[in-house]
Formats: sequence, structure tokens, C-alpha cells
Amino acid sequence: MGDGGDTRITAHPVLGPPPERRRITFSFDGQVLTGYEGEPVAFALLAHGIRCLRHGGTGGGARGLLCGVGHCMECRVTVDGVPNQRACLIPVRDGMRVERPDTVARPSWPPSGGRESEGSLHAR
Amino acid sequence: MRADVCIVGGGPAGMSAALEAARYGLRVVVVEESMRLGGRLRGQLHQRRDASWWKGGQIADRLAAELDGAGVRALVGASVWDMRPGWHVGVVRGDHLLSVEAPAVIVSTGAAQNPVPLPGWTLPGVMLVGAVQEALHVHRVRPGSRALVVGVDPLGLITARQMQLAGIDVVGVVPALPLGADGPRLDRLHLMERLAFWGHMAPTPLLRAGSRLLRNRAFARAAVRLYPRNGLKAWGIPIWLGRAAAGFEGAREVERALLVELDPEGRPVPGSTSTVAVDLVCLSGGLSPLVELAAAAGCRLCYAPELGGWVPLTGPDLQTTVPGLFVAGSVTGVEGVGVAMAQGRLAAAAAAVLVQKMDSQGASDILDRAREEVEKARREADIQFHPGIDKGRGRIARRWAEEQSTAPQASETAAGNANVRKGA
Repeated sequence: MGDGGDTRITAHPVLGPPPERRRITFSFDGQVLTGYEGEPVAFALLAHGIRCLRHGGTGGGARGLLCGVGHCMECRVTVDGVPNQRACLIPVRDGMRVERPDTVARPSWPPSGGRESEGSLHAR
Repeated sequence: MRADVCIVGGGPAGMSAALEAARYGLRVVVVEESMRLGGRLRGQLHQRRDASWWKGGQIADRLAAELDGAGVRALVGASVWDMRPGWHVGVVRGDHLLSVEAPAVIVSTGAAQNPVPLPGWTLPGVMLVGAVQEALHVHRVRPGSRALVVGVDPLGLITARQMQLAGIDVVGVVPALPLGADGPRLDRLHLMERLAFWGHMAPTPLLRAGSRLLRNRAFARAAVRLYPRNGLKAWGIPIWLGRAAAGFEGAREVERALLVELDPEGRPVPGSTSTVAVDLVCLSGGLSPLVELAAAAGCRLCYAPELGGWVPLTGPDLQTTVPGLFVAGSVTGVEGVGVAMAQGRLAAAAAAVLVQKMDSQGASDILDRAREEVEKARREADIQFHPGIDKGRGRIARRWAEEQSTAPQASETAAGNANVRKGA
């Protein structure tokens, strides 16, 4: 188990080697992975070639990192049980539990009754 | 939490504003949504006109250290959810709510990337330029191994080069096929003129030469006729003006892109669809100023397509129509990082004039100088995102002047008054 194999850029012709960072362990859907402390979850996963972060939208297709800077909400995952965390912003920490949301998250509206209220933002 | 100025957004404009405000002796609080100051500056890496490298990450680190030394308070991992005149800035940071009280606010929220909604754009592995730049330069991860860039514009081209430097095989740069009738023009002359306009960023000697030659329309027409079947190249990367991306396919992630051939007028040729195998698609659809917060705070907006869309109506010192509220950086219109940083210093000077109740002579001295710095940065920009910056800025200036003549109460800031007197 490395830090993500050959998708890590260990040498760059202009920037040189990356700064020293502390290696940590976290899990994604139960799979134990290494990452560097403080790097956002989405990029720690990307380093392992993991790009599908959830299923959603019409048809429940695979979704992943899109804007990478916290604007688009495409990359939301469940972190330590808290849903809808932006994987591109939230820093990975030692022992963190990251999961793909297991349902298509929809706002619970109207507030009671009706088919639309099935599934909610807190869909766990 | 009390401050003299609260700065919302810790990117290049916000950091420069904070540093300058601290130099004027103001107590500064910066609110930044991500965990580190720097914003999009951290993803930047390009060669400047003098061939030196602009390494955004290093510059951001240096600015962050200077801010720390200057006693600027940075709230990172924090978002602004409320802003009321006075000013009371509501901040949420993790599970905590707090309020920043300051007589002046500078909104430097930057810009958002426009999506490029071609069929299949939601597949993992299809991402916007910003995500690719963050991956390569901030987190040092390759987001794929074989990439197509969609979007013939400065950011698309720069990102193609950045991917190549990081060891990614870049198969080409293509425009996106517009979904509707009012999409961007794809005729070859127009695309070549666009390329020629930002030929000053000089990807190849050919394009640099083309940049001068294409301004001659007769030459441009001949160039279109003689346009090579396999396109132009920049750094060995093909730039395909004769085809466009029509969609992306793959079972779980992107596996290929669909391309259609274009005739010289930019119309898709029926039955010409081909595929190119890629595991990464980098979309560049341009940037739009992130004006929501400024709008929610009551700033009047103005539509300026040359600047990326709706922008806050601003006076010459980046004051808005709301007293005590200033803006700086890409939220005022999408320009290069040098302009954003100079704007940050100008907005900080204007905030200092207001907070320290400077007399009009003192105000004019520092504001004149700061305004000149913005103009200088504009002239010397490495990258111009929009061809009509001057036209857009002129439009804003005229609208501001109209606003001043009909609504004098909108210029109650010291900075505003100083400028009205100058007839700016």
C-alpha cells in the first residue's frame, strides 16, 4: 500500500519535488488508504485512481470531482457520518471514514407526505 | 470580533488587500472558505513574457507569511453567510457561528468556472480546468494519463501545457460544440482571430507570428484557406480548430470523447463523428464573476459581457453603490492575477480613506497612485482573458457616472466623494 502509486507527481520539471508531508491512513467505503495530512479528500482519492465519488442525478450515474475548488457541489461525500461534505475542500485526517453516499440525496420537500419527501439530505 | 476592514475571500486580490490595509495600520480580518489562503493563485503556473515562470503556489506562500507577520487575522475553513450594513459579517466555521464587525468590507470572492454541459460531462474524469490545476500544482497528483482539452481559450491552452509538464499525454485542444443556436462562433476565421488575440502568451513562434499577421484580414482569410488539415500545434500539442467535442462516453468513468469535423464556417459535417480514447477531459468554459454575496449585500450590478457577465457597479476606487462595501479581483470582472492584486491594494487604500477619515488631499494622493498601479498591471498582464476589457471597464465607468448624477446619496464614502469632486 503506497501513497497512491504513479499518479503522485514526485518530480516536476518546474516545481521540483513536492513538499514533505505527514502520511496518514483513512478509509473509503471500508477500504483502507494512505494519504497526506491536510490534502482534501478528493485529491487523496485521486492519488489512488479513485474518481467516482457518488452516484446521483437522473439515472444515478457516477459522479466525481468537477470544479475542484468548492463551487459546484458535485464531489459531495459522507465524512465520519456527516453527509454532503465537499471532498475537494475537506482535509483528510488520520482515521477519517469517508463513504460514497448510499442514496441519491434529495431535499425533503414538501415537508410531509408525498413521493417527493422520500429520501432526504440526511439520507442515512 | 472587531476589525477595521473585513475581507471576504483570501485569494490574490484579498491577500493583497489585506497586506495593504495592514500597512495603513488597519486591523484586518480575512475570511477564506478553503483551509489555506491563496485561492486560485495556488494553481497557477505559466511562463511570463520574459520567459520566467510564474509559480502561484510560491507567491501565495510568501504572501501568507507576510500577512502573518503583519498581524492580519485569517479565518480559514470559514464561509460568510450574512452581511448587513454597518458592517456585520456573519461567518460559519465548522459548527461555530461568529460575527465580524467592521466599518468597511472588501468582497474578493473571485470567479466561478462556467460548466461545459456536453452529453457525458458528469462522468468521473471529466473536470474543469481549476480541478486539474489544483491536482497538478497544489496536491501534486495526476488526474489522468491521457487528456483532451475542450475549450480554445487561454485557460484551456495553459492547462494543456501544465498537464504536459506533469507528464500527462495531451492528445489535443478542441472547441466545444455549442448545444444551441446562440453558442459561440466556431468558424475558423473567428477561432484563429481569437488565437491571434492572445498570441502574446506565445505558445509557439508560429502563433506569435500569426498574432501579428492575422490582424491583417486578407492574410487571415488566406490562413483559413491554407489551414493545415491536422491543425496548429503549441508545445507539440495539436490545437484542432477544424473539429469540436460533441460528448463523452464511458462505462464508469470517461473512456473516450466524441469529435465532429467542422467545415470552415464552423458547421458540423454530418456523419463525421469520430472518437478519441482518453481517461481525462479538461473543460475550459470561461469564468464568471462570483457576485452573489455582493448582490445579496445590496450592490447594484451591471452586465458587462467583456468582463465575464454580471459585475458589481463600481466607482474608480472599487467602491460599490453600497457605502463601506468595496470589491476587488475577478468579482469585478475577469482579468489576470496582476490586475486582481493591484485592485486589492486599491480597494484597501479606499477602505483606509474611509475608516481613517482622511482629508481629500491625502485621499487623492494615495488613491491616484493605487489607480495608476491597476492600469499598469492591466497593460503588463501576461494573460488577457477577454478581448474587450477596456470596453467593459468603459461601460462600467459610464454607468457609474450616470448613477452618481441621479443618485448622489450612493457616494457617501470618503473615497466616493473624493472622486465625485474630481469628476471621475
